[in-house]
Amino acid sequence: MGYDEYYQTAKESPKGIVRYYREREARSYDIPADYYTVLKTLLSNEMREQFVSTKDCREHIMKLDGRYSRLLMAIDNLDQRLKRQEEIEIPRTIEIREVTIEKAKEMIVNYLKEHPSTYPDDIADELAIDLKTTMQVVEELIKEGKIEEM
Amino acid sequence: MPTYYNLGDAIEGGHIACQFRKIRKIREISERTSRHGGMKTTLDDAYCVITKPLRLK
Repeated sequence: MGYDEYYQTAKESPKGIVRYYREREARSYDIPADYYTVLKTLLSNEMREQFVSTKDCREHIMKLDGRYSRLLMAIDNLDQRLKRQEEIEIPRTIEIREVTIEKAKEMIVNYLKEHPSTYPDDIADELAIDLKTTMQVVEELIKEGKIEEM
Repeated sequence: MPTYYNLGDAIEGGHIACQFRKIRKIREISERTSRHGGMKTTLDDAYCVITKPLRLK
């Protein structure tokens, strides 16, 4: 039985026409023009006042979807800002070691053997040496001709 | 390598390392002429130094 024939048969009873529309809606989004009118006639007066068509629901869902997308973007933006803030405000704690200049020289030279092209501040962080001490040692090592800047 | 202590003494470099007691709020700078502004802040009791990558000779 084709859908048009089925429609003619279904129209004879209210339950039949509702089943017809439900099945049709399940199969495609091509809803007949009289769909909402027929549905409204089947509802009680009280329900008819509160009737919201599927089309209205879809429009509402589309609006909600847009707002949801904007919310997700806003959350993503806030998340990035929070991460940046955390990077700045919660630094990794470094316990500075007290080392002699000679010991620091040895440590820095050894570190540069394994990690060429490193910034002095990164060396200071990794070896847990005071930045001032590191710069003092770097200056001496450059004067001694053991290291050079790139 | 000199160290500067006086008002208006400035250092400018591509990579500056700092050690400080306190950092103030970081502000974003937006310039009308450029899309990407920088950032600014103030450090209290700070030691700042220009650094460059090092290698063994």
